[in-house]
Amino acid sequence: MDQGEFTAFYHETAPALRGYIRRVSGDAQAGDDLLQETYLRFLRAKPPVDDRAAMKAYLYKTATAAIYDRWRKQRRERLWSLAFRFREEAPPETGPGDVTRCFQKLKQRERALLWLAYVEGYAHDEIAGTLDLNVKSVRVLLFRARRNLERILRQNGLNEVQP
Amino acid sequence: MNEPETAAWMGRLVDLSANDGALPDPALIWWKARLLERQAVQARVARPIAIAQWLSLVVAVLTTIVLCAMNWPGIQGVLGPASATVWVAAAGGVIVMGLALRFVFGE
Repeated sequence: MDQGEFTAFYHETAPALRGYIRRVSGDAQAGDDLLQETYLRFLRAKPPVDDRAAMKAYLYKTATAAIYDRWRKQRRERLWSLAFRFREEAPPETGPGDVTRCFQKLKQRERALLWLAYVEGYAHDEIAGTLDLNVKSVRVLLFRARRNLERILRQNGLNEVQP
Repeated sequence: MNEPETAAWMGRLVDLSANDGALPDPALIWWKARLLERQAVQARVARPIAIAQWLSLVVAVLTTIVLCAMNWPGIQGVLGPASATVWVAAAGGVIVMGLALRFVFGE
């Protein structure tokens, strides 16, 4: 892949990928860092450039791995910090209309599942490949993610609001 | 919640993501990737040198131990009647040697 091809691929995929990273990681500040990290890993891996769909799937798989790596690192750091031992982390506050915060209350994998299925329009086998899951379990996990999203929306008074 | 409803909620999230500001410059990412690739190649090339450095360190330490063991009666004769000052000086020497080795081998 040369620089021109990469730039075209970047402009084609980066806006949606940034949305995915920000929503799944739940960290808007780290979004651009993770986006850069994803493309750096992608370029290092030198994926074949002839299959656009496979490239995109690989990009999302890479982004998911980068998000999980960051999450594990943050968890390790928090485990060692005294602040974590003595102070409970307050859950994000929600208010009517704040669908973003409601979405962040889902588990990371549920956020990724919902985004890939309903924003990217991925089929179950593509989601399974991206998130390293069994194809058969994707349907069940998606159902649970939808149910949890509904529960959280209801708890925050958003179930009556038309999306 | 059924699938169309979920899709509608997710669409709302996407709309909220639309005004997330300017994206990072792709040229910057491209050149950073090239730079990291070059550094990785350099690290690969330098790996045998690093291994040789560590091997030489291990050989030096082992040789010192063997030589000390072989000449232990003589060493004991020198150190036996030594005062605390000599022991402190020896300990200081070992620490300085360690720091020097750390400085030489670095990283």
